[in-house]
Amino acid sequence: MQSMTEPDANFGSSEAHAESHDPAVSHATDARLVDQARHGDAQAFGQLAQRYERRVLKVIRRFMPDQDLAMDLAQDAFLKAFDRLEQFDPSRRFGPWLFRIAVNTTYDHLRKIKRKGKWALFSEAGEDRVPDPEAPDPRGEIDLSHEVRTVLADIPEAYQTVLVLRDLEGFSTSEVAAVTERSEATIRWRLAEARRMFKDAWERRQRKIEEEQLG
Amino acid sequence: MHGNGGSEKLKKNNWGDGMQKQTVTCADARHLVHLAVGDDTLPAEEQQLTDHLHSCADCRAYHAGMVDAMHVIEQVRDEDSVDIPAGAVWSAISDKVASRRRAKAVPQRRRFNGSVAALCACSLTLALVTIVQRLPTNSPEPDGWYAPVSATSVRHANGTGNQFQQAKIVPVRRPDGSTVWVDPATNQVYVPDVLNLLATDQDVDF
Repeated sequence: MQSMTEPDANFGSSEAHAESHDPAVSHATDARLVDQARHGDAQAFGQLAQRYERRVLKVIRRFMPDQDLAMDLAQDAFLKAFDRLEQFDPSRRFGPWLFRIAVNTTYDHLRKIKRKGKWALFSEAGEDRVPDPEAPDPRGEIDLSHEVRTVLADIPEAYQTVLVLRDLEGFSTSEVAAVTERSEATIRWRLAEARRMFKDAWERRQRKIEEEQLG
Repeated sequence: MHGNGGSEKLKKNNWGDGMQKQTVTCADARHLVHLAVGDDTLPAEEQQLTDHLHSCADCRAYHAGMVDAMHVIEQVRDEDSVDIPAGAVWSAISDKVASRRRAKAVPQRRRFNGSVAALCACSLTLALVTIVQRLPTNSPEPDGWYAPVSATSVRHANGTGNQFQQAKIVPVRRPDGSTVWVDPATNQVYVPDVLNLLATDQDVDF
């Protein structure tokens, strides 16, 4: 457990640390700002939000490519964090707690989309999705980022989260453990499994694409 | 799929200098490969993996495939960026946060609890009924009519020696509030001060 006075705004990578150079964001520790926010100081919460917003948005966009939607989810995450400040354990770090809310908010949204998708199979909306044979193959426009996201979506959430935070967002193993509230040993094991799953899924996808191009 | 059969079991090799060196199975080595491609192995694990890869062609191929997959992830990691102005999220939610803070500051009204209200109403009704039942009635009573309170028995001598005759008498409250004892059979009125009430059996001796 880190010291209460230790600033932890550089959670994940050096980028958030760079944000703290913003003159609008003071150098008060997260713990102090959280304490002030809990006593009704909205500006203190504002400083926390400005300190973390880009990192949170970046994490959400790993799951949700639509920037507007990602922005909405980031706002939801911060509002949830504000509403739940009373539940926050001040002996712990604010960063992992906030990222956990952000990741869970994103997963909740993705689950809703999935459920809607399932219902759409029984509705008339599905009929519009028949591809037009005259239309150009859209796969040419699909970028690598989208490909990776598609492969990631097939990986179970617990492993996907670890892979995204560690390999795409550069969180350390201990930081991922703090966000997911799991031991570092568990995270190492999940990380190894997640990379294996990604490799297998990626190779399967590449083989499929090659077969389609040949066939 | 796994490598040479000799490396499948965890074994210890005896080196010439008497030191023992642990090697790992292919399954363990591949687990370490997954960690090593992201620099997540411990120094000891890295050494074990290096030793294993030297001797296992299948695991070397697997390691190469894993490196390729990680290369894809690294490419994506570097290309994705967030192009929003600093403070955009906060400026979008600051008003909502302020309004929620005000809402928190205002003491919440107590919710109307229907069950408590119903219980109170029942209790009040019950209390009211009890009180009304105990109130004295205002109906006019005919002269000479006394309301009986309760019954008891008296024994009085019948004038034939020591024999006593048992008679039921009832206390009757007069309009002025005083109580007299009346034998309903004979309408004889007994004055209280001549009664000698026995605490045990409520009998009255004359």
